Amino acid sequence: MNIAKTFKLAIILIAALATQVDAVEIDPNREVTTGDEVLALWNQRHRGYGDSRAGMVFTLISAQGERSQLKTTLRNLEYHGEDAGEKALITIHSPAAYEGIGLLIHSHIRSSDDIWLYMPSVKRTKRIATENKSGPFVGSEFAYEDIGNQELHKFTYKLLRKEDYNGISCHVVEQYPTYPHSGYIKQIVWYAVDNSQQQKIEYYDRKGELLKTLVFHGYQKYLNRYWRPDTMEMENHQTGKGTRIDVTNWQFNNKFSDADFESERLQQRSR
Amino acid sequence: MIRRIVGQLCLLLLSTAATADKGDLIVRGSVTTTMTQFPDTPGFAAQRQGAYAGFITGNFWADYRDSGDRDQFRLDVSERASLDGDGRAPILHELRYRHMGDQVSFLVGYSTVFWGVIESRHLVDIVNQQESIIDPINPQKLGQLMVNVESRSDYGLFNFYLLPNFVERRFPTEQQRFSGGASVGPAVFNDNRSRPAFALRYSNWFGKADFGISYFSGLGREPRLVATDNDNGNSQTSLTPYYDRIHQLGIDAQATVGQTLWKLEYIARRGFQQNFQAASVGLEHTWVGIYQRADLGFLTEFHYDGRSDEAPGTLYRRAVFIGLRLALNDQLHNSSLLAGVTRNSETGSYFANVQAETNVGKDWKVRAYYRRFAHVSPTETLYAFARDGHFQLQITKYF
Repeated sequence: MNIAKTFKLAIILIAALATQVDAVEIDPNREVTTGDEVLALWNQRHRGYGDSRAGMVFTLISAQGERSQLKTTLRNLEYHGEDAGEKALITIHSPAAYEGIGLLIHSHIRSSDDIWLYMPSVKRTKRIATENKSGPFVGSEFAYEDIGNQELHKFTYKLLRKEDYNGISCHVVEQYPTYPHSGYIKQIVWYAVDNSQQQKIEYYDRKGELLKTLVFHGYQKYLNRYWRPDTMEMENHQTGKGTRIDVTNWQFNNKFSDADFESERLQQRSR
Repeated sequence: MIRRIVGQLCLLLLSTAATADKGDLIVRGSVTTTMTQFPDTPGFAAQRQGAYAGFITGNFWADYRDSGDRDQFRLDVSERASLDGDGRAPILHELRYRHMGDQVSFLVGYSTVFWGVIESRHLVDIVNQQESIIDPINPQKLGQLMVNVESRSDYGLFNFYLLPNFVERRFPTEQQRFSGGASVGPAVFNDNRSRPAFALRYSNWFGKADFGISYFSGLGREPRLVATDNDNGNSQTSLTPYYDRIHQLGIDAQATVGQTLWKLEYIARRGFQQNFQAASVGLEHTWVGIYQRADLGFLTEFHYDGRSDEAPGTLYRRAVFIGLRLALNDQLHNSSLLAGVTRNSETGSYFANVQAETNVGKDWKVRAYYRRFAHVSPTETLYAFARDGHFQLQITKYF
């Protein structure tokens, strides 16, 4: 017990040191001049939320315009360790054939993520090889890597320009995945100057061609500090298919702990 | 005793659901129609002639959780009616209460537990009884009454299971396929049946490796089937299932290396005529983005089983499984195909299994199976099923 505690303490200390090195405080009123600064400011505004829970409705749109819906709950737990990124748990409620499927993602900053999938029909939890993270999540236009959380060190950044998007002044940043086996060569992201929130993401496939565009709508502020979107719309330009996510009922301070995000307990979280 | 526990659990479930203010109760059901066609005539005189069999399964489940997900009640039952008049078979999968704490959780009632990582054989999995019907990929489990305490710490997860009742394996009647034309008589217990079994499991994961170590002590779930002499002089075979007290150590592990999952299951069992070890090793490699968005997986597994002829029968002692898994990721249809062949290395016989499924509309699911046995020798267990290869269609409507 003591060894484990000491070890844990050491990790916390290292994490605290690492955070200090990373977190060059950016004055929000100062003009940022590099991609790294845009992201440092984003990180500064994003951090500290603790945990969150929200309802997510995926609307899958076929190339012919047919729609089908998937209702889910998303739970998040913020990072607290050197290589430990955020943890995300998605459980599916409907349609009935999907009910009880659970997806657990442990994001890592320097190593590849850990992903587990629980299938209620066979009551089994299976590990997903993370090199397969470019695969689609339940047939939607979102890949597993789009659903996992953005961590600062997962990309390198280049500020392209400043421009208005939908009347919002934005920093346009090109970001290159640093993790292996991404389905993308790069992403171009529009960050609002005001609050650092992502307005639009363009995903470019490994051949460098535009694959998908994700647009965020209806940002609202929670706990006087944290911005969350109401709607995300993903369009696949190569297949004509789309997926819309409507997010409802954001809740914070749920007192989630690591125990709630344990792979061995994925079955008990799902239903 | 058991009936009283079940009754009280029902009451508890109802009263909690009734007084719940912020909790969440969901109630669901499904009806599945299964039609099977057998290309071959039956292999045994006792079996009903006729190329078709069918049954309808109704499943009902209710799940209640309090707002914090800490207290959970669940009821999950199935009822199956055969279209051939072979009777009805209700199955209680779950009827339990679970409390989830940060460090310690517990569960009381009937529940279903799965352990293991290998696809084509489930060595380590031992808590629940199952139906003896040929679906080695996914056998139908029967609920097991249990008290389960789970403790979570920095060192991993410890589970303790007290298993007070013993559920007998379910066999087909001698008229049905997969019976080998034999009727199964009343079971014999090589121990006091009411003595509870218990099981322990420790599991953890480090980086890309997940593993579990388990121990079971109690009446084994696999019976020895012993042919009994028939006094009434007809030629029909009658089998008596013998259940023995066993002690089993199990290890299961899986490592993720790149796009490949490496899998291992091992058991060592002690008991009456059952001192043996068995192991399965395998790998599963997946390529993503085939034809833009499909996944293609390749699986291979090797099985070794050191049991003697006196131990409970098993389909294979040395076997190789090779399979392909295709997932189309076609939006919510989620169509998939799994095709595999198991070759018995001792006898040279084959078992082929192909299964495909797709979701249709909002709440329909269609599954199709093709199973076939080839080059089966009369000396092996599989011989009883050699002519029971079939096509099967399953249509499920969810409510």
